[in-house]
Amino acid sequence: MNQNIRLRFAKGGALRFIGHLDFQRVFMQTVTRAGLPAAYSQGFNPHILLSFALPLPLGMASINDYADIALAAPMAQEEIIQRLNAAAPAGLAIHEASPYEGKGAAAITTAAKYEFTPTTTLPPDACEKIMAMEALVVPKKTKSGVKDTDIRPDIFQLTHGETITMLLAAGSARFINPLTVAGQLAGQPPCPSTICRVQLYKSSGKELVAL
Amino acid sequence: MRALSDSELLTLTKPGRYTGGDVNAVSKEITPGLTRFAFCFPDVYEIGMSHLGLQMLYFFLNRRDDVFCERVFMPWFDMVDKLQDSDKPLFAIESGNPLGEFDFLGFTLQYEMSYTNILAMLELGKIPLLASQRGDSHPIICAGGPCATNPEPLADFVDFFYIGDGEASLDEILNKYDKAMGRRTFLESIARVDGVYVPSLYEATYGDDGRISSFAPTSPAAPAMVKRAMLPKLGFFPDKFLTPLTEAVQDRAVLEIARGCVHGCRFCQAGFIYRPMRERTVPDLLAHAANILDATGHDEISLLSLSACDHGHFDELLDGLLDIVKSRRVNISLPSTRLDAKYLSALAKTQNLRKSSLTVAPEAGSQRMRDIINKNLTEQQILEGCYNAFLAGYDKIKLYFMSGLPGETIEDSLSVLELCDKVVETYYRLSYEERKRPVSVSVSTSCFVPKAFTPFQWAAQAAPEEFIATQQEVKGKLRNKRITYRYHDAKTAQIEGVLARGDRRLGKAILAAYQAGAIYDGWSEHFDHARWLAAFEQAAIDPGFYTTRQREADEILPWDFIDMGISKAFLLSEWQKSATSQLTTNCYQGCANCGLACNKAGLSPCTGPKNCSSPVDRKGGAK
Repeated sequence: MNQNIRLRFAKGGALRFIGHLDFQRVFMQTVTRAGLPAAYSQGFNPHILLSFALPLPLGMASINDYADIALAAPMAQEEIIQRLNAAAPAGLAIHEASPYEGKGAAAITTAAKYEFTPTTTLPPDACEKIMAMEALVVPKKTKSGVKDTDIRPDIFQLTHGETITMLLAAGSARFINPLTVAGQLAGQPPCPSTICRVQLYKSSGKELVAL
Repeated sequence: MRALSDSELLTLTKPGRYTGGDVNAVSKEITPGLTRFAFCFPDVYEIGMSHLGLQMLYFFLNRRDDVFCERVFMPWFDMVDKLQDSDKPLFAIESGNPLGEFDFLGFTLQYEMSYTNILAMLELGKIPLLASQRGDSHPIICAGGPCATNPEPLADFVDFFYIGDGEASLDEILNKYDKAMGRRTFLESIARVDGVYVPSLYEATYGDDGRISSFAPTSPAAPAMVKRAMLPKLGFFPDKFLTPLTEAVQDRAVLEIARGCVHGCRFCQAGFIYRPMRERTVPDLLAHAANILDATGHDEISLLSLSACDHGHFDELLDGLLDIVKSRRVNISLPSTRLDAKYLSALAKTQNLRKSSLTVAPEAGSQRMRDIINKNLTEQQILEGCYNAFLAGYDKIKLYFMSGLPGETIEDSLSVLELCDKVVETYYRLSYEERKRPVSVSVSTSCFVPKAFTPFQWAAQAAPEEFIATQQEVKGKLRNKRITYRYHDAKTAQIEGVLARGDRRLGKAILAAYQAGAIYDGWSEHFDHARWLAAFEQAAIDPGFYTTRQREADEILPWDFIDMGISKAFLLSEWQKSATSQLTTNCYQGCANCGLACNKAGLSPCTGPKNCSSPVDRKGGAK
């Protein structure tokens, strides 16, 4: 029986400049170097059973990110964390490894919180203005081309403090690119490195709880 | 420390090429006494990071506390524009420091068509292109690798060349280096170190016919003959590899099992310039394999050698490696070699699930041509090999040939198709049940470019129009639907040919081509033949003089001042033997007296494995 482990990690530094597929490969190599008893998929090209909650756009850092890994043999949580951190490249830090049951992180993620540090001063009511709107129609890239889409329902919360905090729909069912929302706030699309993803959430009843 | 801001980097297609952070990358505290060396790869990151030489030299140099070796790759077009637009100098990955801050820039010369990228990297680094324009404040530009065996075309740009095994003399050169030394004093101080060639200390004169009339040192510090740096025995191997964050072309661990080759295929430069074959021992190799797999987390390890199955203890090595990879779920990949029983059994052991295509390189279609090039391979051996491969379940075969070999006729070229037809027929020797899919034979024909230090260094290269006519003729005669025929660009081969056997007068043409916009010439979509022809004209260079002209035996060749260990007399006798299709023994079958005198020089004598699988010389080993 495989042991399902959910890893909580942070990603930053040079790792911000590689795409999701590259990051997956880097993570798998880290697991291999760490010598974890990873479980492998069946088939012609067995690979480590590792899946991520939500890809991170190029250029962004992430403070609380999640990946699921299956281990073929049990290992103490502290040892998993310690081994992975010893093998991880600069910019990747594993904070937690806890067993989980049920659906994977990608399937349950419904929202993500981002912190956006604009390089220009925004009007103090920029967030309130958008939150007060009934609809916010923007051109959105989809598989079949660019379509005008109402993104307002995907914006759960915008608050203006030292930085701007954005709580947005994220996951396989609904997703809004944080750059689109930040672009609406700032008037032009910001550099992705001004945005940091701080937490991922799942729905629990009407509440959102951290993954 | 990084030279570009996040927002600048994020406009690039692959910013990960420039941001570093690779696993096992070295970082050192930068102190005034530290010698800064930038390993410069004149092609894009993904290609450079697949190169074993980079991994070896990076860790070889960084094992010294007094040296910090960093990496620089040729930036891709978007980055070239970004650097030029923002007026920022090209920088090294590890420290982010501009090239101008380094003591040494070391370029690797893997392919002639990357020469313009070297100029581009210097200019992007804000370093004067010509050695004569550089002063004591500029880095010392050096270059090594296979193309350094004819360094002359780059003589204007490079301060010193390094010819031979990197591990042999680099320490001695670095030990002699002192930042306070003027560059001329330093270059003179290393001019007699094995493998070092300082072009500014030599002068060439030319006769009315354009041929070299003399070539000699102009300084007492420089030797008349430059001796190749050679390791009698391979030693150093890194215990870890740089593991890129963004995927390399060949993203795997590489194990150099031997250097050099026992065969004497007359077209093959690597077969001569790395002689003699020097093997690493099985216990060493197994330890290296475990180290690099543990340090990288790679899921594939590739065995590197010019002819892997010739390793004297190949079976033992393979069994040991299989033990190592089993627990780690790592695949072993073998370089293609002679399609013999030993190779097929090794493939069966290493690739039990995935059956991809097999590659064979008969190099020439007719037996006459294969004898001219001393390939020592019969049609029967090729077909038998294919048959066994088909039996083992392969149904895709790739065949590599060369066109334009010395003495080749149109019949020889067309015989490629006959041989391929026979390969297809061989597939139908299998029973109906054994033939799961229709066979596919893919033919790839390259344009032969004669290289220095091979018996064909005197040969005339075919002109582009001859290559093209042959390619069209063969293509027109192709009837078999199971065969696909591909061929390389004849125009690229012409430029490669000029650079491969050129002299120092070519510097002007390389500079002119670069100034007209030539970069990434090795990438067919960026290669512009007309631009090169215009550059030759501007520099008063006749490309035919360097390519289609057969050299006389008594001619001074531009690389004659290099003592490669192989004697010119041996190469000349091989050239003469090729004209009458005479074969020469390989090192295992008997010493052909190439000049290295392995036994006398204390080199590992190439006695070969007890059960040598190399085909026995059909004609009884002529000497």
